[in-house]
Amino acid sequence: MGTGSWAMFGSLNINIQEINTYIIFKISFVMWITRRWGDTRELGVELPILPTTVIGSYPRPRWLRHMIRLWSMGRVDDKALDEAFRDSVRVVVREQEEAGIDIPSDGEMWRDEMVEYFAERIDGFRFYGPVRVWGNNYFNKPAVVSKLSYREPIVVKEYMFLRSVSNRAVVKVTITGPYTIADWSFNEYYGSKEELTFELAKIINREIIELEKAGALFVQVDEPALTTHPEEMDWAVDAINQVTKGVGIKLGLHVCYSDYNLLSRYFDKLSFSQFALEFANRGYRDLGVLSKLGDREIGLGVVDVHNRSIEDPQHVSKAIEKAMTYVEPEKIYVNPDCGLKLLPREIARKKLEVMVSGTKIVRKELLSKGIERTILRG
Amino acid sequence: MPVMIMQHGIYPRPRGLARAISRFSSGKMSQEDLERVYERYTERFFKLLKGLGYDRFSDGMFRWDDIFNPLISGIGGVVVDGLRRFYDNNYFFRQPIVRGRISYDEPKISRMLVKSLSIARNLGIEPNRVSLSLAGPYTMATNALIETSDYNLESFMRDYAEKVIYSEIEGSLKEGVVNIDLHEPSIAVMGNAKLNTVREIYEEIARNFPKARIWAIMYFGYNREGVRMFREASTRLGNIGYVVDMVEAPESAWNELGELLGSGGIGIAIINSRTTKMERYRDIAPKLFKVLGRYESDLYLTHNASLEFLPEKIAVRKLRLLRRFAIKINRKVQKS
Ligand SMILES: [Zn+2]
Repeated sequence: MGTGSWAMFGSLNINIQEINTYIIFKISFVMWITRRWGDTRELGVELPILPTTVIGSYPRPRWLRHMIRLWSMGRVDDKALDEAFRDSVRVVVREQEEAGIDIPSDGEMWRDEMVEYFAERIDGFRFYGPVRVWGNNYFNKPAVVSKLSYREPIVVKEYMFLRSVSNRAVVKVTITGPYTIADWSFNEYYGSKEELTFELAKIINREIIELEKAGALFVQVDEPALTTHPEEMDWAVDAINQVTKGVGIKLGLHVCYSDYNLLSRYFDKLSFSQFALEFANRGYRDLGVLSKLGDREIGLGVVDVHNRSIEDPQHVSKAIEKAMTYVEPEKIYVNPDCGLKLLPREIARKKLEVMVSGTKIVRKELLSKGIERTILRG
Repeated sequence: MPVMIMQHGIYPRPRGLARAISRFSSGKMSQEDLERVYERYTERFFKLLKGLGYDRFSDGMFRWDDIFNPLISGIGGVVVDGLRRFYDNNYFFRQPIVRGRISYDEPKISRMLVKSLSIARNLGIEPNRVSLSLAGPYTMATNALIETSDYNLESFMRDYAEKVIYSEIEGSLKEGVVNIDLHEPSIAVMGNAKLNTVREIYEEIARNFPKARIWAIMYFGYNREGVRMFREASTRLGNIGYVVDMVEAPESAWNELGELLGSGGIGIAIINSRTTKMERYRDIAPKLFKVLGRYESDLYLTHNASLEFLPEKIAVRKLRLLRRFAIKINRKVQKS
């Protein structure tokens, strides 16, 4: 592209009218390319074909959990706890990198829970106490009690620290999406859940813009609740799209343990370049929805995070090959089904290693066809 | 007749109890110590409800993980499986899988209730104020995965009622517990296709146990046909009662509610157990007054779903609020 073709044009003998037409054609072609591959050019990042990544959370090291307990009893101070958090990020990032992960996260070391963490950092929420999610498992369900407002950057510091400790070109930052925050909160203030969700979308959008300013290249919005009220999907999708407004970096959307047939009807309406979905858990049923991806990418869930038995690399490579019958390899990222935090740490690590080994099997086949790299797309 | 107040279902498990249960499961607490913690919180719960003047209530259901567990672990032919979403809530239950014909050797739940009843008696609470809570036949059948050709949905409902519910009612009646709360969100939120069978089952239960009061607790929605069906059943048999979720009902439902009251007991749910927002008397009272004059039998005010969807602190506030509403309403009725 570029100078070569201009030179060729220069050697042709054509009239001004034609030149203008050609220039207009050329400019619009370049603009089209920029729009479609725009972030590629801006970000300038190449990745190995089938980039491996995580969904977000990783088991907290035992000693970090111990430190948190000591801190909650007042036996260590904030400074010591913060140091422990940072050290744990160093460790889990290194662990992901050693396992061969191309795009690591900080394991969400700082976050106890995906909604609670954001609600604590947005003005207008309050906590009354835990409610049950299942069995003897509870979470601090937040309540919206006044107009929500953006207080200060929520996860930018986390990103900056992750960036400083990872040696990979791209790292992933995760953010809980507006619909899931609204669905998992009590609403005492807004007239409707819809109104609340749109208000949250503005806040999340602002946070993503802050992340972009700080240099982040890849943000994943987590919306596990998205398909739970099918009658709300139309406006929920509009609200989620609000978070992408004015954002130039790569945005993924993670939706897990959900109705993918329903979700796939909205693939082309959702302004995200990647959908990170859980497939291992459902035995790769519903892979057919990948045929509806259009020009989007799939973050293919290939290891089950609720099962302690470790998959073998062939299981992973077969899953990728199956996905390749629907999607070009350049549009496949490989990841676990969901966050790994509920697994014992050794198992989480082994699952990542297996995931990478399985990916390498497919990469070898692709290499023989000359397919070696892909490009980070926005 | 003054309106009464009712609590039903699972009360939010207090933090201290949740902590004790996880200590017990990781082997850091003995069964005896855990029992003492259960007793302490059950006693605290009964004191609260008695203190607030509730006319009838559950035992808090502190030993329950959800409306199906531990009940289903005592049913032969049923396997306790993975987690499944409970209707449209961010709340999950262990799903029953029906693998063969079911059997039920002992009334596990009413035996569990005996422990609570002795605490209640010590506090001067008679067993007839405490209810036994179970998943209703329709709700059990629609949330179970029936993997055997021995049953279809209807025959499973009947067998579950005859084997499990009957055995539990017998067990409860022996202890003086007469109020049997059958939780039936499925009637409120699902279609009407099986309602005839549901009605037959409820009427059979009521006929078989004339001394018991069989309550269908419907929530997460308002199903006009379901309510109408229970009105008829309750008019035919005086020992059938039903709770109607007026929080989730359309405004127009208030107009028809007057006609939907049977001669058995009715519970009108006016408190939303899925929001921390407090209800206002001035929003609810005018609607209630339209209905009250038309009703002669036992009428309870209550909350819709179990209170466990709320943090405990808010559940307490809502229980107090409901009591204040009832007092105000009764005063006004007396004056007029
Ligand atoms: Zn997930």
